[in-house]
Amino acid sequence: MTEEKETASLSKTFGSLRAVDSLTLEVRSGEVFGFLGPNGAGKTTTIRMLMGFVRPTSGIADVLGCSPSDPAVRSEIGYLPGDLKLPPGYSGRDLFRYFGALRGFDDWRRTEELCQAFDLDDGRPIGELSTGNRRKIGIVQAFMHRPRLLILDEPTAGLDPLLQHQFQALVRESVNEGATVFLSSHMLGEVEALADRVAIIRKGLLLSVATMYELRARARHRLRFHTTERPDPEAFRPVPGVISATSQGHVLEVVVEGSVDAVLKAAARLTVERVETPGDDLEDIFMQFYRDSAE
Amino acid sequence: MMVFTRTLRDRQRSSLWWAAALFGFMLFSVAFYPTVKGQADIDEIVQDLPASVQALFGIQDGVSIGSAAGYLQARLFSSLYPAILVAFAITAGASAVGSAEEEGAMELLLSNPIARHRAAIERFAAMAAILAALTAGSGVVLAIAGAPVGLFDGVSAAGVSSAIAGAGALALLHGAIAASVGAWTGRRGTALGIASGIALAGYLGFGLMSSAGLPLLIEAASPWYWYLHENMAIHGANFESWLPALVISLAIAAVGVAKFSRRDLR
Repeated sequence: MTEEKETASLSKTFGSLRAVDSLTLEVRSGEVFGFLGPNGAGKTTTIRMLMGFVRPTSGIADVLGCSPSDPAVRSEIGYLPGDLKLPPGYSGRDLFRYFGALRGFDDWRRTEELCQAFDLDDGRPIGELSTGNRRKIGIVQAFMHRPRLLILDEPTAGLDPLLQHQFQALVRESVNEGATVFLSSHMLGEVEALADRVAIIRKGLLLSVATMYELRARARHRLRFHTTERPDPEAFRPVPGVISATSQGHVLEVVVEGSVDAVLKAAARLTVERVETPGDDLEDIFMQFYRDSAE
Repeated sequence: MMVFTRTLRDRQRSSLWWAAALFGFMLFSVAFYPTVKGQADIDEIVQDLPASVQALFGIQDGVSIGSAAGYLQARLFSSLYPAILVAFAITAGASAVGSAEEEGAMELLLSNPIARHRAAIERFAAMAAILAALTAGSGVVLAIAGAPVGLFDGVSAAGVSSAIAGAGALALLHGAIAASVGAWTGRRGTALGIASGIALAGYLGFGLMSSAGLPLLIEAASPWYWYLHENMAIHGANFESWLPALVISLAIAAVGVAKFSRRDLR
């Protein structure tokens, strides 16, 4: 397995603020690597170091075997900034032609396909476009030259659910074609849908790197039983794995760490009409990471 | 050269407005020459002005404003003509890197395979090319409009060309300062402020110092002195009107490019 991107003890300080602290990451070829953290965690600063926009205070970044300050490497990178600023006087087409020429390609079929897929009118001046349409232009310019490495900072911010879905399909398609994706986000759902592995960062410090599978295994599960009688939560608190049990009317909510087997067996005594498993389990572990590291 | 040509296209429309202002001012000034041509009473009026004001207005001993050379120096080369060129160069220079970075467009541009210094040099060069075109165009407009009204009678053609080149070089110098400050700081306002401040200080300094009898070394500190101290329409072309400004512009631009290629983007 080759490494597409690596940082060795990368740090960046702005005055007295340590934005990124001794960050060591390794992104493997062909994977979607999620980079998760709350706002202000240092995600964008890390990405800006990888793109060569800011220089690390200490440490080394290696992108596709090159230094980020080497402009040649950027022809293999598709970059979508979180804070996307486009020249308002350009049309989408102007921007694509300009960047295409800089990247040394002129095969426009892919660009046209992308515009069609995202229903983008690339002839209108960017200044007249809605936020969502500007975002689409950002996506097209990042993907149009079939880069080996995609660096995407909060890519679906401002996109409606349909377009988010389309964007995810595009990322999967790119990965199938051999691209590597570095996906930064403060929203778990965005990363969960795509990432193979996830790094969690907070206040510039790396808290954890794990596969989605490992994260899920560590996650707490929330079970909601809708019963005919009023359930007694007290009866569930001694059950192995139960973190908390609460009830409201005919609904019993149990939070379990690890296997849910014992809880299901205990619930067999009740007359259960419906079981809900709200999909916020990873959100919980995510919050837990933040809380733990804040203490 | 992609960034260079694209920058030219981006600035096309605003450049046309600058050209309209510059050429319009020139035509206006030329059109007034017949009304003062050969009139000595204006010289009597301006004689009473303080020496520093005379210097700022381009009035020089022994050269009548009613003469072609005197009129060119006073109404054109010491007037709004260089000011318009300088103003254009400062705004264009500040936008070369400073505005683009402040607006966030620079980061996206540099996500492409182009070196920082290359992007900055090409954008500086585009600013200089437009300035050169405006300056050359102003020469053509002056030549076409001035000849029928006798504005070149007894005037050195090489001297007028040298004065035009001098105005262009003076503007380039201030444009280079704005571009370099913008590249150093990534801030448009700082670039505009510093370059405009230097332009104003240099202009007023030239006027004040010209009457104070200071040593040449101090007097010559103002770039406006290099350009204005001699009426080239009479005395012919000189090098000091354009060569020092050109060389210093290149040096200042180089410093800005070097800093820009090393520092963090904002």
